[in-house]
Amino acid sequence: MNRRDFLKLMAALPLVRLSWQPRPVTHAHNAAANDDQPNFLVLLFDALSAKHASLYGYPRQTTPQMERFAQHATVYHAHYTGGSFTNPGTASLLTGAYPWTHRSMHLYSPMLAPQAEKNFYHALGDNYYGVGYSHNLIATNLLYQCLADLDDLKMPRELCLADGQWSDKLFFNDYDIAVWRERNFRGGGALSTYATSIFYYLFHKEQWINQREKLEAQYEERFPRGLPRLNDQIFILEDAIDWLRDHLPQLPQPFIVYFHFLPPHPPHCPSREFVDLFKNDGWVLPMKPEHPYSMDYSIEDLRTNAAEYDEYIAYADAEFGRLVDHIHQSSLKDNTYLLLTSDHGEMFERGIWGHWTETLYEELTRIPLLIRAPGQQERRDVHTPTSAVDVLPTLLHFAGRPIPDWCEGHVLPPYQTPDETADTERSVFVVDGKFNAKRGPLQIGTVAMVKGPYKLIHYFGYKNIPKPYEMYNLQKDPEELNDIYATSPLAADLQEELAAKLHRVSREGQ
Amino acid sequence: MTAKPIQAAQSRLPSKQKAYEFFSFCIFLVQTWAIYSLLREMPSLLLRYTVWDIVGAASYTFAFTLLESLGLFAIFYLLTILLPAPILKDEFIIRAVLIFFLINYLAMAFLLTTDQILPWSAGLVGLLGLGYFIVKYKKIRSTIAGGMDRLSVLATIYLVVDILSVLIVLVRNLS
Repeated sequence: MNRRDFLKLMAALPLVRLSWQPRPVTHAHNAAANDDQPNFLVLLFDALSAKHASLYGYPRQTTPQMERFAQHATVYHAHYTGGSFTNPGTASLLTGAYPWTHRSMHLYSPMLAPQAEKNFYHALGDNYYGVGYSHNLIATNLLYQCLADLDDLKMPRELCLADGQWSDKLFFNDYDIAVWRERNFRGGGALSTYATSIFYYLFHKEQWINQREKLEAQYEERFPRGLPRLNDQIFILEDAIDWLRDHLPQLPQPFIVYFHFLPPHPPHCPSREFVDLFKNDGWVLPMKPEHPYSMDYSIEDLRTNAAEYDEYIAYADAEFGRLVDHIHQSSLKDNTYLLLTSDHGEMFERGIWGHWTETLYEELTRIPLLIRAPGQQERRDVHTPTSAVDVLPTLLHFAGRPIPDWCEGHVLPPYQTPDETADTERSVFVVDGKFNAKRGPLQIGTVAMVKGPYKLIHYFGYKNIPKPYEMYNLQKDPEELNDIYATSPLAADLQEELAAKLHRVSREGQ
Repeated sequence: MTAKPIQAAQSRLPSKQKAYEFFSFCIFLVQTWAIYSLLREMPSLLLRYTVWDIVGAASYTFAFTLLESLGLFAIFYLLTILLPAPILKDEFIIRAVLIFFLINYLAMAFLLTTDQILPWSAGLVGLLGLGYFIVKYKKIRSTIAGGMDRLSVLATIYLVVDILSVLIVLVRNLS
């Protein structure tokens, strides 16, 4: 082949692109509708801490709509995320597996391919019409891994005012890698301080700032603190809620719809009626001792941020209420399970703000879970510790499907059949393994184990760990101020159980 | 009638050799920065991706930078048609490299920091001074032209990597 032939061959490459059709985002629903099987609507509000919900006793009225909804729902009071930020938390919900199994333990990290195939869309089967959407690109990435089992994966831009992305249009067959490369190319990736491009970065930044300023000016009256956003996605929550309101009744049934809303994840940008809702309300966050992994936020900063976070929760709660009211007025209420949960909480204590931390205190790990069954009239309260990994088997239980062996969760109380009786003394785990390799044993991280009223937190592999273990009695000490590890006779047993569990999952990880 | 303007435009373009040398300079600067950024990010990529995904991630980065280099080169190349010959076309390599380096410096200043104005301004003044000497002294200009000639060999390696990256991106998207 001479140089001319080679150039001709290169010139023919665009023809390959023309002949190639990317995988469709919307699949044909390939099964007949089954009237006996219920629909599922799973609504997730990102970074919603149960500790900041008035539903669970928080002094500020952050969640009046959830409280109203809870009057006809099952309320889980000790429900825990699988991991402490979006990747591990969402992946645990989708797959019924802990982070040490699905391995989406790092920021922007996909699940291991075999685990990704074990998602709740897949487990429910082909006759369920699966829809997935997220404002958060990280969750969109995880949903993309479930693409084969989804009938409609909605891309962020569909319900955003602006998203600034092009990789999903050009590289849809390799979206989960391409999307983060696009972000790093134009700048702004959380793990890469600098853009990999020098010039396009400037062009994009200029264009992006202009677009954002234009939108914010347009919505300034309604969103005085700026529009809700993350990365390059700018949106208003109302649009996603409206989409559900308008489209849910038209979806083929039975359906499973998973919507991952960004609020109250920072930046905290509520609509006008919630701005300063809790300013000077007289209530202040309790002071807690500085943690060795403190980010050095002052108590004043934490209180200010917490107040704004609480306002953002109230905004999200109001929108949730609007959707629930609509569903209640439709025929969907008779055959649809509605679940409300989160992927992780948010910390405003011990000098730490946010959810990128090595600690696993209750503010970060305890998330809401409410389930309203079709026709449910009374409120039920469950105080047994439960986990995000329990959601998948519970959905399967509702759909009358067997629980697969690979599932690490249990059917949630009080829904078990006599064969599935809950082990009230079972342990649930929260795993932070963000500094470990994708495969292999966990060598560095933090794991919290909750059993009955006790919570054991284990830090391992870090340099200069002040205390490898902390233990709390959450019933007597819900604020985790009194470490009883050194004095409790139960500490040794819990420590032994956790060590055995870590040993087993590490061996399986290898 | 249309042949004349085309011929006139072509006559204003630099030679293919000069154009390639300048393209080499573009790709060298743009890609060196991309490699540096990628290496900074490598520890996190190693943690979260499989080997094939890391290869994919690097390939996207190089494919994007190839496009960026081509775009920048095209802008300069077309400017030779639009601008009077003494501004850019005469001694194309020296002038284009100087202008590109200056723009690159300003872009890096925006990228890396916007609050340390003094050191970046001092650097800019130094760079303009250097540019003055380069334009004034023929010996420095011929030294730079020689350097560009050698740089084109190194940039060819980058170019090969970039083309491989484009192929990997295609494979990942077609498979």
